[in-house]
Amino acid sequence: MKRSTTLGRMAGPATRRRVLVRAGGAVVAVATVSTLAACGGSSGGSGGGSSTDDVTIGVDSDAAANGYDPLLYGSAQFSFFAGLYDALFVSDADGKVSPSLVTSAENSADNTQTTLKLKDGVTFSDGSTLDATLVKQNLDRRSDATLAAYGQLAGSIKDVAAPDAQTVVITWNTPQADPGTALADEAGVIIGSKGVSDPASLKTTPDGSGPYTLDTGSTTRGSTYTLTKNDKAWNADAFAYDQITFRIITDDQALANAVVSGQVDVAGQLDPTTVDTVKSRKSVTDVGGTIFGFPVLDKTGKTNPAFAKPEVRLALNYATDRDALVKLHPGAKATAQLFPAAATGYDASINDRYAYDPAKAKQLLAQAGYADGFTIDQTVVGQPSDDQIAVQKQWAEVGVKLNFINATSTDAVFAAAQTQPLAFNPTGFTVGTNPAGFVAGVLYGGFMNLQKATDPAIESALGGALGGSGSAKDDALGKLNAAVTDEGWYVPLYESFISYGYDESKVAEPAISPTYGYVVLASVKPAS
Amino acid sequence: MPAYIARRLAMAVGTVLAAVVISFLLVHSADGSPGAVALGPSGTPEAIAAKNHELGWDRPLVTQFVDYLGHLVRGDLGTSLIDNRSIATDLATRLPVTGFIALFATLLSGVVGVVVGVTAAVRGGRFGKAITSSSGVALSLPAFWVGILLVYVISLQLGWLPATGYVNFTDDPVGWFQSLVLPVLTLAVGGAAIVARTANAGMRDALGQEHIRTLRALGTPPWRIRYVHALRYASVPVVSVLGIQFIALFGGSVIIENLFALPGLGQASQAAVSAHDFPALIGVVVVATVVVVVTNLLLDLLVAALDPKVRAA
Repeated sequence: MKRSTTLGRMAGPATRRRVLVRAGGAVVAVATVSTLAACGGSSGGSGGGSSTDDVTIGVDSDAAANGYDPLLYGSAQFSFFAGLYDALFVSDADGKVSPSLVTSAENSADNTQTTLKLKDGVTFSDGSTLDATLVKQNLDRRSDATLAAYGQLAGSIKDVAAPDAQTVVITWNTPQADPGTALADEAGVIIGSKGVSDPASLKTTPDGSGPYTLDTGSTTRGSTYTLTKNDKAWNADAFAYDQITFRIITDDQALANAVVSGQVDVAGQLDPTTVDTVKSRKSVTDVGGTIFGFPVLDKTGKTNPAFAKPEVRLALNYATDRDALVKLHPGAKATAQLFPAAATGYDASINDRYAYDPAKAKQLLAQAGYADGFTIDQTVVGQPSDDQIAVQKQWAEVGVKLNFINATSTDAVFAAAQTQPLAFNPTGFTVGTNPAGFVAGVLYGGFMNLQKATDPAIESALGGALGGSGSAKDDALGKLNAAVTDEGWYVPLYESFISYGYDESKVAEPAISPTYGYVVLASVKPAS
Repeated sequence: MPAYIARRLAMAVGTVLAAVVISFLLVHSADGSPGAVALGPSGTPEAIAAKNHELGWDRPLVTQFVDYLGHLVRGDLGTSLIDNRSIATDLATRLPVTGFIALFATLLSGVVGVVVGVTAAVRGGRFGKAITSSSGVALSLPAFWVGILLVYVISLQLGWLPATGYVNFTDDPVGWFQSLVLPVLTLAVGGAAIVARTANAGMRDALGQEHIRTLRALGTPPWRIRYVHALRYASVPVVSVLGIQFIALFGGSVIIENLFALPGLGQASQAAVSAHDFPALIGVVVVATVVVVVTNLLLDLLVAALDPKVRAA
């Protein structure tokens, strides 16, 4: 103290000014750092601990870019709309579908008609109540091509009738053994009377019966959507939080940063390149089920004689270096089988059995009479994907030429399915948790088998997988998986995973729909 | 001075009008129509035509423009084709985000740049050279790279500040301050380097001026010569650079808004373009033009206040 007094007395005005400026600067610096450090980076995410007050979910695309008509959107936005709307059926974390707005569903003997009994006491935000006429009104919008949620359902339903207030009868164009799945989640969403009569009103105002309502005052379109608990909703108790904020963060790195630094409590879908960053500081949960690969559309040789030979189809499996391909896709896992790693019937030994072996591929091609190789035409929109280009090089090593034909529309690609032996979807095929269903509805009984080829091994295993139970069913699933690969009906490349980051100190591990990849909103709960 | 202000005001109004005309014509010459956007792919030609009629799109262009201008002067920018929201209300919530970031980044780069540049000019020698070289390095760093680095160190490693998001001042002043720090610092690094170089050159030029030498000969204290007389002379180019800086930061906010997930004008313009939301797009252009024009106007007035030669020109 004495020293500073002496200095102050001895120093000239310039020195005193410098001292004051430096002291002032130091105070400002200390105050700033203290403020920053004290407040930390906690703004944004929920308050902390295991409070049920609020939770913030970061999502990678705008949840309501075109307004609040849930039918305009596919599954990617269903986490958000599940807060505002209810559906006839909902799928849970295991992919199991259960009734939501219905109390029972009964099929006719030939599965062409489904009778739904509706739940009582469901009220919408416009004050209307759930009844059969409203459900019919909703489903009668299915012919509107802009309603992405309906997808295949639009063409599946022949007629919807409302014989009484609580009963809806749906007549299907083709037998529908599993109506619950067809009417689940976004496809089964029911909008209130005002919204369904005047869909334009949904551009600004949601009209649902869900557990939350939109807090428009705290919502900035394209940036933040705030949902507030609707305690009067019939299923309000199934949702933990009083308030859910959806933050739209379209930049992949920013989304990962947001969960790492605590601005959001749950974030997804994470870009595969950011998963390790999130894992280093927070937790990550993921779900697989999307298998990238080449379905062999033609097993009869109608479009390309070589494909009638199983040896040729298997040669393509051996000629594919999957370990090289997954280097292009961080987080993906090489696989030589159709069934996802988490599905019953998955067999790790199949991957070893069909490991990259160009010599074996050449041997099989020679065995089939194609020692000099052959050419496969494949139509692509624009440019082929990185995977297709990589596989083209790999197959060229064994003499198989993958020849890309450029098309200007997806219609041309669909048309090419009739005349070409192989397909490729750059976004993969969702096999999900019900691979037997995928085989039955798509690979064997659907568009991946346009020539209606038959295979006793697949057919027998499929029968057991669909009709069996317990260990017999599990055994049949294993056989089905093996048969699909062994008979060369699919040339798998890798399985991709959908990842969500979450702050384990605030929320419990959220469940992800194994079929559609969105967070099951009811599963977002405080950490215990 | 009043004549000068009147001239500048007239130019400002003319610029805004020109921007409105150009954006209006560009939007009207683009493919598609608001009816088609509003109704989506399912809209039949008849329904689209009816919607266009309802929106007045089929009226003569001049009539539409006069109508738009009439609404514009009343602050009505129309409604979004996508969700019917008021464009003016939406942009009013977004303008402060982009505006505050650009403003604070400009102010910070101004303060830091002037202090560093003037100090380098006054002290010269190695310090001056060091400042010149380091400002060159700062100038060459892309803003997004600086942002990523700041987020990594300050948010992810140290946990001092939020990595993303914007908090309204009225909701939480401390949170608001925190949410602005990293975006502002990100933009201020390059800005400060430009200002430092400008201030340095201006100050060195000023210190060699005849009137400064006269002041020295008259025994005026050195600090007064440097920080009052020379600095005033050097401040004219600095103020010009700061104005340009603000406009550049304001216009180039898209990258920073993406990086920090900020709900600003950049995000709004991106959304309007990708959704073909014509009225929203014109709205963003008009608001951005008004901000730029007002900034230029203030800048011109400030420069004129500092430099009598400008007023006389």
